[in-house]
Amino acid sequence: MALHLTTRTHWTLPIDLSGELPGLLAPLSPSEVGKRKLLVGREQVDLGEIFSISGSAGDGVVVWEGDLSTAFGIGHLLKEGQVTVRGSVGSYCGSQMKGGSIVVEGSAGTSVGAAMAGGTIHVLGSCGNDVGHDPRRGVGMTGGTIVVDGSAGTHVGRTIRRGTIAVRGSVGEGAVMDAIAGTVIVMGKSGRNAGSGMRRGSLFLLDDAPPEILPTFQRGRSLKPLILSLLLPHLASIGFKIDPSFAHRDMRLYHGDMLSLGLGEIFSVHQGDGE
Amino acid sequence: MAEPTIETPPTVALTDHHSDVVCMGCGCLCDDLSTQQRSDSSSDSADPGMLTILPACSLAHEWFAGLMAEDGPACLVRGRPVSIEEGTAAVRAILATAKRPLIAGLSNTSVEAQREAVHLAERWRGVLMGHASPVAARVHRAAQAAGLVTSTLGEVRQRADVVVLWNADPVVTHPRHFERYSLHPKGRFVPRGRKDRQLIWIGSTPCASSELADIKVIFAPGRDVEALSVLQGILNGVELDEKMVLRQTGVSPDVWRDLSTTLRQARYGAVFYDPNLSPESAIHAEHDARALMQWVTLLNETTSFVFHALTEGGNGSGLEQVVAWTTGRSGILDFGSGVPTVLTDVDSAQDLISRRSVDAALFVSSDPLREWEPAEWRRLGFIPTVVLSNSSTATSSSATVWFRTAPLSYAAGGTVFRSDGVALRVRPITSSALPSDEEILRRLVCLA
Repeated sequence: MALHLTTRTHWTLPIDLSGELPGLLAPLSPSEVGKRKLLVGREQVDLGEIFSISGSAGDGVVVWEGDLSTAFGIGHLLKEGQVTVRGSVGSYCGSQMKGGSIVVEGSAGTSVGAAMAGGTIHVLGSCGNDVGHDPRRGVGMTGGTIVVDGSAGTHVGRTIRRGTIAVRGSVGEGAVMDAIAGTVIVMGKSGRNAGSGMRRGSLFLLDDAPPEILPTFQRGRSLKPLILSLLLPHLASIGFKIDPSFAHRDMRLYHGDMLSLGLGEIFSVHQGDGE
Repeated sequence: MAEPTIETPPTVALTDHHSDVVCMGCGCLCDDLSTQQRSDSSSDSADPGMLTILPACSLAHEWFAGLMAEDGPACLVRGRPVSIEEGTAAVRAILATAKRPLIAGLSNTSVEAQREAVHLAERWRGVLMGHASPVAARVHRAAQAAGLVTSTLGEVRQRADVVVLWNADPVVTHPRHFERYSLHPKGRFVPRGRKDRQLIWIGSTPCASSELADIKVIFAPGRDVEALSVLQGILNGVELDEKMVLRQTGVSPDVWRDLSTTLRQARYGAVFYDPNLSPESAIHAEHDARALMQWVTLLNETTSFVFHALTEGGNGSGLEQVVAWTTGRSGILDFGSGVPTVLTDVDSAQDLISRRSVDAALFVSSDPLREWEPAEWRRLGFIPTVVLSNSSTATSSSATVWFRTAPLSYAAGGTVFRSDGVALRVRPITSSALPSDEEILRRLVCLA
């Protein structure tokens, strides 16, 4: 049976949950879990004061329930096990995680999967800015997969080196900005400056609207991106289904950013000249 | 119980004449002003009209007029006049019970006071607003990401033969900028002043400054990054799609090429950018500033160019420097865990208060309620607030504890930093019995 931690009341002050990993909580009894200290503002508070506790994390599963929109760092440095959040979470969910999986059934704050190296994150709602990017250290994700069923803010996949991000809704400005490599799929609209400064990597824009491509990208040929036929089953396996026909549709390829290394690719289902 | 000593500072008349006075009314931070109290003013020193400021500048007059405080008690606790000792005790009670106090609004005070504020945030493990405004933070982040080639404004004055204004209107926002730094002064390498300089204005909305320009380039509104990508592409020899350039920037590629040629021929160029010119430019400031900085860096491969942001008045530059040298960080800092952690999910004090993620607030020499929506006003009413300010404002009137402090550059001295990082010593032009921000903050630090 999973360890269930349910918020007792709504907290407006930030709660640091970065140390509460399934592996650490697994050998503890509920009363021992309740005595763990959490940083709330500047004070150390017993976990049991904030959450009601039931079950055990012996099977490597931790379920957080309630409004955790002020809790940051859930799943920070996660290596194994599963974390489920039945509600919304704050910033830095899954930051620097190396393995395991996180499912957020609500929305997530900024920097989801910041600089993550492995594992999967599935957000059923929307995300804030800097998905996959850690603005404190200026580094992006180096592995793993993040899928978002809602929309995401600015700088999705900024400085991404490896790994995959897929967003079903729209994204804000500066997607895959300064990307070193990696793959980002956006099914909704993309904001301005997508791909600015990208060296390598791929951005798929699957919306029918004309994309806003920077003038320093060069229009390439139209082709069928067969990589999607490998990628889409992987995304489907973690609960993010995309119409498989996309893998067989002609897409317009843009090469760039020519101000950088210029080996990046933007694929757009819109065949026009771009906006 | 003995009645507390209520300190009512006397009004002190201005001395006759002061020279080399620093004005903090805009980002120029002019330090060559002269002030003279008019002879008919002895009866009422609080009348801003009684102070003559030379050279005449509307922003300087407005700045000094705003500093002339009315008489009143040095400290009020919930509207009741008390001694400063009682006031500091009340602040201690507030900070001791708060789980996450906020210290904000530090951009109009001295470096010395800012340093004490950082110590206060560290001692009470609170949250410190380490930048002057969200826009200033965006430009700062852009500089961290792209790198910044810059100089002092004195170097611009002595060397620059090409001055580029990118979406900037210093004639209105920084009235003495042309006169002191960028266009008119005669410098060592530009001995004829304006005649040796070329003024280039690039932007989307023509303004008073663009009327003075030798070359004007007007591009489509909100397309700064696209325009700068084109300019960088030309410098890098990138093959550009001519139709796409025209469609995205509204300007022919030939115009951009001619402009690039002109800039490459400059001996020394300076680019000035105003992120606060319009709400639109403020929102996109991080991307626009980053692209500008990258462009200036590229220009330095063939000639010398420097970048300057036209900042707002006050000592925001000093705040960034103080926070950097005392904590090694920049931006909004949370000392809750005992070490400074940069908060990246909030932009302003307003964000923190509207989310109720702070439970006490201390504002130094600022009036945030003046700019806030009524909803945030009400939220601020839920938490105890401490205000250090020289005059009665919406924020001070609703404060739990209000220390009336001597205003910097009028009745208190200190150090401030100009936007180019040059430190200026500010001397008061009148004396005051009121304590300075620094003195009050030091008392509060000692309480911890």
